[in-house]
Amino acid sequence: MDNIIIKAMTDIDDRFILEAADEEHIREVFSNLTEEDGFTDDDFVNAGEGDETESDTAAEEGEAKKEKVKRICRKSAKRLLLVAVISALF
Amino acid sequence: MLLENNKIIELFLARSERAIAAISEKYGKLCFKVAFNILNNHEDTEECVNDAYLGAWNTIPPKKPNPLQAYILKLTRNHALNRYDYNSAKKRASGMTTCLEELEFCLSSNDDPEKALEEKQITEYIDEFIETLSDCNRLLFVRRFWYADTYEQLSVLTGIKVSTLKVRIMRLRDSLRDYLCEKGVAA
Repeated sequence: MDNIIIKAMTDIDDRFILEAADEEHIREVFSNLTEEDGFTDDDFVNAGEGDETESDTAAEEGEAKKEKVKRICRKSAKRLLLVAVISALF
Repeated sequence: MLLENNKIIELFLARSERAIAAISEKYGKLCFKVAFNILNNHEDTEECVNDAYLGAWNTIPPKKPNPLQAYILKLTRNHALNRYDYNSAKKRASGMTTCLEELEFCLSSNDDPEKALEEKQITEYIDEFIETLSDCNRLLFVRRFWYADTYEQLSVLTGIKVSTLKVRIMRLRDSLRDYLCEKGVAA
């Protein structure tokens, strides 16, 4: 090997080795980045795709309920109209 | 249940073969990862990790390493680098090539008679340099250049895009070069 720096790296302070061995710690650091760390939203995997949030889920559920109510109302209106027509005929 | 480090050390001191099983159970996976990232070969990796265990067996006692984890990882990395040297001499390529090439900028000659001293000095400078880095940069630097993680592995771990990581780590490498230049080490 021509590169003594790689070998010199082996004996770096134990603190750095132990810290970097802890993958949970790494995930925590990278999920709490600040502006000073110099990353932008575009630097993240899935940037722009947007993870589904609780509010997104609630909004979707709300829309589904509205659609269901509309369908029930339409059915009820049709029934009422039918009843009115039959009553008028007889 | 994983044994505590002091219990494992006690097993080594008592020359109990259970020490090897205990250290393997606790740190075997991480040792394997370190060696495999360098060698990219299962057979060589197994051999290096076993050599590291043997190294621990031969050095404890008299040593009582604390922390044990860093000690066994350093032994593993040393064996893996030696095996890498051997493989390179035999013209066998591996995944570590890129990582090594990235740091070639700041090499001094290997034939330097004061090489051992220089290595120790460089280690101290690298420690100083790492100390100056922010948390995220420090982790990226150590994962890339100590654990020899690929950019893809780093991306999965951090959630940062590969292209961004490459630029960030290139800048860290350049910063190290500048730092070593200031100290009069870099070529």
